[in-house]
Amino acid sequence: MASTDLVVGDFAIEHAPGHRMRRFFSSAAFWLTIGAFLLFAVFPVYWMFVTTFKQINDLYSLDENPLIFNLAPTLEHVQFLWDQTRYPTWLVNTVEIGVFTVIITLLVSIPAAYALARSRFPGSGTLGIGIFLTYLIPPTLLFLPLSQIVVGLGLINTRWSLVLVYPTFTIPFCTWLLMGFFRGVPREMTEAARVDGCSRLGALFRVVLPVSLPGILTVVIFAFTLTMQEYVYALTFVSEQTEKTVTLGVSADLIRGDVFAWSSLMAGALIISVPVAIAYNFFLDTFVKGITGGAVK
Amino acid sequence: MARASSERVMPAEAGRERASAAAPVPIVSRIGGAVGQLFEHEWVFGYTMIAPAILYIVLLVAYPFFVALRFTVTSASVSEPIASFVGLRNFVDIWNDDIFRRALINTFVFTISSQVIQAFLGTILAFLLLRPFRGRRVVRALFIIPFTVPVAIGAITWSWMLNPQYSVLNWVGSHIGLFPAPGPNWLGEEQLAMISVIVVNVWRGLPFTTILLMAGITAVPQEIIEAAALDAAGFFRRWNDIIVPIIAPILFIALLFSFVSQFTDMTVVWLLTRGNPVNTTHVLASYAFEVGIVSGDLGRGAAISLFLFPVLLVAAIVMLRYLKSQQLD
Amino acid sequence: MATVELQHVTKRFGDVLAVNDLNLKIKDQEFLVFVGPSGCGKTTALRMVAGLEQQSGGNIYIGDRLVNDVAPKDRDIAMVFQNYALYPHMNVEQNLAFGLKLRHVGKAEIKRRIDGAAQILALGHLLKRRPRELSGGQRQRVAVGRAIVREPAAFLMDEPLSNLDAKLRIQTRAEIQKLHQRIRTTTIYVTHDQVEAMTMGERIAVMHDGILQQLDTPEALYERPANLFVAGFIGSPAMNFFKGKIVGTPDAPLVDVGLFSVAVPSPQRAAASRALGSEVVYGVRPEHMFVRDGSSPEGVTVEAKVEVVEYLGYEEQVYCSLDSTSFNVRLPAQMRTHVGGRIPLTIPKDRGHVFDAKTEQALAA
Repeated sequence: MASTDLVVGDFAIEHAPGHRMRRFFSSAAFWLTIGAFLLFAVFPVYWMFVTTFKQINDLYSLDENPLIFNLAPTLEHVQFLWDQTRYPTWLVNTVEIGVFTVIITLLVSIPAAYALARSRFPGSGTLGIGIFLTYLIPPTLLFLPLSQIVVGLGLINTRWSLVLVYPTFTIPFCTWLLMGFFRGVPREMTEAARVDGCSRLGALFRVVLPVSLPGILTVVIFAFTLTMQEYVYALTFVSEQTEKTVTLGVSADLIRGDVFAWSSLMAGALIISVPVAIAYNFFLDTFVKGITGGAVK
Repeated sequence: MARASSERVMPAEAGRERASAAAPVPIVSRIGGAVGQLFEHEWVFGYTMIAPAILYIVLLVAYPFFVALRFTVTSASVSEPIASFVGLRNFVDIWNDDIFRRALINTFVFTISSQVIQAFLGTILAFLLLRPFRGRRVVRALFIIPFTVPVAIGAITWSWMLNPQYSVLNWVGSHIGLFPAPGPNWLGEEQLAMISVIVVNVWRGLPFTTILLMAGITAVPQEIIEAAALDAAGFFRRWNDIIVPIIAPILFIALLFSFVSQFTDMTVVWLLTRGNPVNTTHVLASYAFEVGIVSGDLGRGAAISLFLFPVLLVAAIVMLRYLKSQQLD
Repeated sequence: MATVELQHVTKRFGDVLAVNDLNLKIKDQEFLVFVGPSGCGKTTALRMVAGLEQQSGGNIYIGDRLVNDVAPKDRDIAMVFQNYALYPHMNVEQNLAFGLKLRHVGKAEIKRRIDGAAQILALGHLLKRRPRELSGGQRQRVAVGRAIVREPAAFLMDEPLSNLDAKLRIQTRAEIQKLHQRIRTTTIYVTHDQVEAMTMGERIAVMHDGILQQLDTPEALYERPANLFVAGFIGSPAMNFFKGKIVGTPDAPLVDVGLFSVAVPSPQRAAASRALGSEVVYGVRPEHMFVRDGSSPEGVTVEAKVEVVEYLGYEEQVYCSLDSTSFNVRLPAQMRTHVGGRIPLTIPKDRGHVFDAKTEQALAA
């Protein structure tokens, strides 16, 4: 993956050359600050990790140092999650919803983004902005009427309700991103293809899409992770255990009244967080470029 | 098709031959050809390509939005969706509802304070991460983790860390002497619960803000910064006069986005405190959910979430003006 | 190969008239250059021929075929773009073959044409490379190759040399000329560079503000510019202009520019006779003025002050002033002109051009 290395000189802190002591302290201050930020960012994940693999007695003992394993780590909570809960089903549901949402999103967003990035027709600017602005409309404004629509379509309590609704936020977002990527393909390249014998649509498939493949991949990853992260619609539409997504299932079904199965909960959280975190890290640079590319054209 | 290649040997003839070859083609493909021809027209092509997106948005965003508007003036509920018109009664009701007013205030307090903290910390962090140092990539990768963890998962993890009985933060805090042994009941007391919500919001929002700030700062041409350095401009000088004006547009959009997403989010509050203690930490979104979905009062729920709308509208207008100005050049 | 004809072609972008009632016919096998400053409508005109831009009015014919509503892909033309627009995800060979595959040309035929083009353009060793592995000059050749293999009715070239450095540009200019002499495909070539236009075009269409100013051979454009714009645009450094008035008698009209009077050149004398007293602009090219010596041709001589001298080796370009009017001349390098000195400059009587000050058109017989 191509990555832009974000380095900008060191104009943040001026240090007089030659002053070893000062440089040492400024470097110490630098690492302390970085360390503090890192601790804040990463500690919850570390705690997720520790909780997942701790034995129950260790976890709920108030005397021992909770930050380390006082008893040997165990896989029993992961096992429990896998065997005694619906977690595997939730995982499958999550992936299934993600895949279908991504497919719908690409089918709708690619043509829209291509038209907005490359064709001039009356109202194209307004329509583009309109699509973009719908991303601002939050689930919390729409979940009430949408729940009625979902009921009306007979999709309530099924994962298909989410497949139907998730594109409402992935489409605006991905159209915007894709516009940025498509604008990065020189206009002449599509024109060359059209002179060479492609229709407008042909130029999209034979030239624009292959050339913007990294962008498309980024969009796929981000659309997918957006659906994985969604919580409000899932909470509103789905209460059937077997239809739930991971985030919903973990946060709802592993809590029985006041009894929290913390270890299994954290195990479920960890399993879903790690792949998402890795995927984001791979595509972050392209993603940022896409956002700014759309804004700065 | 096999003929095509022999036809092309005499290119001069090709155009004419192809044109005259149109006659014997069966009618179906002639219609197909005509449609294809029409599709090549820039306007037809543009509208056709954008139609599915518009359709999706009209059916599943615009239409529901108007349904939501209609809900607000009816007594609709989950049990009887066919409701009667009640005028502005829902609005009067919620306005007289203390929890609602508290939620309205909370929404602003939570959003604005976490935004300010994020912008402040994000700026510091962006400059730190832009310095070249060993392990920069690793640090950055670790640093964006909160952004990648699903909100719900993050909120739950924090609620476990802030658990009244087994809070790991309290253990650490009391062992390094910050506070006496049992430690504060983070989610059980009003002030502390509010702080907790803000902290989790910052934890989650900071990486994204920082990344966009970094992208913005990197976009400032290095020569300009060097020129300013030659002019002996101090750091704050450079920051104010050079970097901010140049990155302002993208920064502005990024902050607006993050503002809107936090303003309308209910997940953190819902999973961390569920509005408790005694409904003092609700935000508009979570209270709308409580009233509209949990209690099934669609009319009042919709009225509550409608209060999100003016702010969104302002955000939309601001963004619109920005985008328009971008398109002028 | 074919003729290309534009009849009353007009293009509007909103309120802007990019191309205004353009009429011209490019002959079969001709190399025609559109030239003009940026924004003059030359590229828009070319893009309308390609079908990439829909004209607002008028008709375009390629060969005998009216192509107004024909998609670019069906116009049987090939185009070379300024930035080459090579497909980055294909190697050179695939780039060349792309247009042929889309037209279902047979495999053997594709190979034959690619080999032919590769030989003409010396691309043989590059066929398996991706565009990003090529130098600017190589990319340019691939772009041309992509047009050649198509064997189209016409080539359309949009500033194909402007991304090359100066040396390579001159070399490639010659190569494109050679190529055209060899395959004689009708070519429309767009450039903003009048030198490129003069050296390459069999005929040149000079455009300005969307309007065709003059369509002629390079010699005719240089010798008989139709109006002030063409006179100023063709030739480097540009023609010197002096505002003046027609005076004298119908038999011997003169242009009086205040500082000097000079006889109207003979081809324009009849027209000038009919326009005694009218305001005109007198133009003379820097290379047509001489420092007076015994063998100077007949003309008027003025004492000019030397302001700046640019020594170019084989000649000097001298910026002079006459009272407050400044102009420039090209003189042999051995003149050793001194800044601040005065030189006697002769304006030969038949090398000037007289334009109507109002209409800006050349006075014509």
